[in-house]
Amino acid sequence: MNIQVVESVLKLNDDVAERNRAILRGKGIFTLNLIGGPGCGKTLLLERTLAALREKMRIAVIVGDLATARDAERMGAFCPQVVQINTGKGCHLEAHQVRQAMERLDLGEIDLLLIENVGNLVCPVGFDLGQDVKVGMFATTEGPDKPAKYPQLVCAADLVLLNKMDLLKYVSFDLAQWHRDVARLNSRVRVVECAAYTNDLGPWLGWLEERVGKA
Amino acid sequence: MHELSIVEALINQVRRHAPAGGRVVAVRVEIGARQSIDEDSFRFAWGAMTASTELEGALLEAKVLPWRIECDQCGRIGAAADPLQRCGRCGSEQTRASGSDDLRLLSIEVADAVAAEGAFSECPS
Repeated sequence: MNIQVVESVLKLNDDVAERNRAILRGKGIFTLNLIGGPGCGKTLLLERTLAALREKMRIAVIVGDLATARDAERMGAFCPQVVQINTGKGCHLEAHQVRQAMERLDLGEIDLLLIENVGNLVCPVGFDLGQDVKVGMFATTEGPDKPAKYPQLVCAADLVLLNKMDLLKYVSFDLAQWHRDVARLNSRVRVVECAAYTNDLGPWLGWLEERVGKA
Repeated sequence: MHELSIVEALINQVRRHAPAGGRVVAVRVEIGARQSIDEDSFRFAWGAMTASTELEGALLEAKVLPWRIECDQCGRIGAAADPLQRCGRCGSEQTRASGSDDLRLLSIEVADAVAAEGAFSECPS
């Protein structure tokens, strides 16, 4: 007997994500899911972002790591509402974990929710958390082939960041090739070059402010 | 290894849809090109996580959908496993890739299903 199903395998995660999205949008919160490899600069970018925008809007952070609360401690210096999720051996965040973290936040006091996913270019891409946008982050120090080797992240992203532009002169990195690959994989994606270390964030802050204003 | 999470979700989904008493012999899944799923890891996780359960031995039939490659030079629309493959007609690198991000359970094949009530009613006694 053949039983036709035709249903998303991640339906349970997707259902929770949709409920997260409804709750967050209902509160007027703009939510961003930041995905990038370990060491590409996600946490420093968010520290710089918090420092630059905390007087203009109310920001909360949910940060996922396998272990430690070090990222939460770093960002807690800039932001009163930070929740660390330790996934143990989990290589990505799932919607129910974000839901649990949301319960620890005062959602009435947030304009922008930044979710820093577990450092990983692969696994987090397929799991909807209830975000409004996904941001894919790469760094010049990772080499220029990462978009080509991890195309799913580029395709899923609303914006792609290339960090560590301050180190471009020290590494072997074909910038034109990197941009060409990204454009071939996602012709609609917005691309922003930045250097979080030197606090040169390019149009990143403006893009975020514009999105939050519309939320 | 998010394939483990996905197989865990798939096993729960199969259990929700399979009829009580039916032995699942095959599970058909469709994987969009934009899904970051390694087929070998997926099959390994399926075998490992169904071992010693009622799903042990059930065949996992996974169909991976290709990328759609549109050439800006000659307009050809083709399919490829590599999203950055050159155009199959003119060889140009001026291509745009797109693909499905669906990951769907399509169907479940069940053997030894419990006979429906009354199925033997016409059997001569």
